[in-house]
Amino acid sequence: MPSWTAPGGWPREPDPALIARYAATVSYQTMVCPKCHGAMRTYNRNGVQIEQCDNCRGIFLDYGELEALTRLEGQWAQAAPPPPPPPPPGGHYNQPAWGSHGHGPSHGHGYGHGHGRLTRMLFSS
Amino acid sequence: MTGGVVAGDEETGEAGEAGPGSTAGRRGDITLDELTRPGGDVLTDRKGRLVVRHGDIVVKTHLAEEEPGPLLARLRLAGDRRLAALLLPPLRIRGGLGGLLATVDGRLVSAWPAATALRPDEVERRIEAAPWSAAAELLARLHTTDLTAPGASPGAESVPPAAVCARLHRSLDRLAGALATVPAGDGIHRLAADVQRAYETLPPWLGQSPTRPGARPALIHGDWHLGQVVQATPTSRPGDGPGAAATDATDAGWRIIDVDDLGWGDPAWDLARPAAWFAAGLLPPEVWAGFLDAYLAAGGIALGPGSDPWAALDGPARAVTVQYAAGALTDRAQFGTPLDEGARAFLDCAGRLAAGA
Repeated sequence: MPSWTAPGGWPREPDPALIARYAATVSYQTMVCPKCHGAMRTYNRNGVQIEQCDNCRGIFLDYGELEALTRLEGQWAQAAPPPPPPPPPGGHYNQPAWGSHGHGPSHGHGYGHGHGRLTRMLFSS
Repeated sequence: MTGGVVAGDEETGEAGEAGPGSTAGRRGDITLDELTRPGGDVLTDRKGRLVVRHGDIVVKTHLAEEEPGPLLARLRLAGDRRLAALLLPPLRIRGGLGGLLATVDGRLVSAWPAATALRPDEVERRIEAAPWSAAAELLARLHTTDLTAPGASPGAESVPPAAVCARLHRSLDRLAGALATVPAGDGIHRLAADVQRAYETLPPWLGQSPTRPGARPALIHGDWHLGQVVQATPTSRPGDGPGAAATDATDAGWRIIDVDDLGWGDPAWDLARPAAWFAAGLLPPEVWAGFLDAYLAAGGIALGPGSDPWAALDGPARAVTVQYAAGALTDRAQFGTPLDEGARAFLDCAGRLAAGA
């Protein structure tokens, strides 16, 4: 018996009654698609709950949810475009349009570690 | 940063260490026997060039299609005293063409002092510690060499065009030849079509003349990369006979080797490879910036008057990118060399060029 068992018996044995009650709650929340009778799942889209069918991908909106989505859409359209990133210091830090722009082979790995074949390119015509 | 004593143009880091006697100075011309002796360490055997080291001599067999005239002019330039601080000078060959070039089994052969090349594994470990500034300064000084100045040595008046256009065409020709042996269903053909389309987006002058229309040509190396930078041993520097005092205390001995493409052209070609490495994500921005800053500080002229270096570099850097991508596909088709990260980086760039970037 581990000596670190907390007062009150934690961790405790699984409680079958608790599990049954939880399962009932889940099944209560699971909607059936009115169109194809597939299981529907709840998603959160920008704070709006929507139900989508796993089978036919159809979407069910509760009262007010369509209005909420429309309102969000309006806010998005009115929002000012994000400011462009500041230009890097010194023109020669820029890559040309056809460059890797951070998606090159060294991105995320650091330069000069474990890329022997990359370094080879610096030594060949 | 330096290791094996070599002088070659590619794959140089695989040579052995310097033997204790390798810095002994040589006097007198190289004989044909010395050029053709068996054995030696093969430093390069790629793309039709063979470079073999015998002790303190490096023997280079040039491309089969190489013409003796332009090659001899290039060797003379490499031996020009005004370029002695920039280029490794060739050794003289007894009875050779112009005293610099021999013919062995129908191939042109030159001889060079062994020198210490950069080691790829050390550059790999600390890329920023490679002699980027020294190399940039050598290129800047090469580009500002005035070959019309009084006192020009014999042969300097006949500077050939840099062989950059031929190199570009050769890379596409080699790819076409290698693809002919690959079954039609292989995915390499789709990648090759991208490379071909990228090639077709290049400004036409890149493949026709080594310099931009209307631009003033300069003396350029034409095939510069890190494998072309060596540290000369003291006795391989002209004027430094055994026991002689160093003529320039600040001279760390860095020299550029392989003059097969040397000639007049757009100096942007010599910065095109670093530019392409940076564009493909192989070179950290701070290393690229340090290289360019050192080049400009040494008076380099390749970038022109504007503030955007890509105005001058974009064309040659695109061309070099196409060459790297074509070379990777050729090696894959011909030798089964896998397309590794470096190859993918340039194929990705070629794909963006083909898509109109």
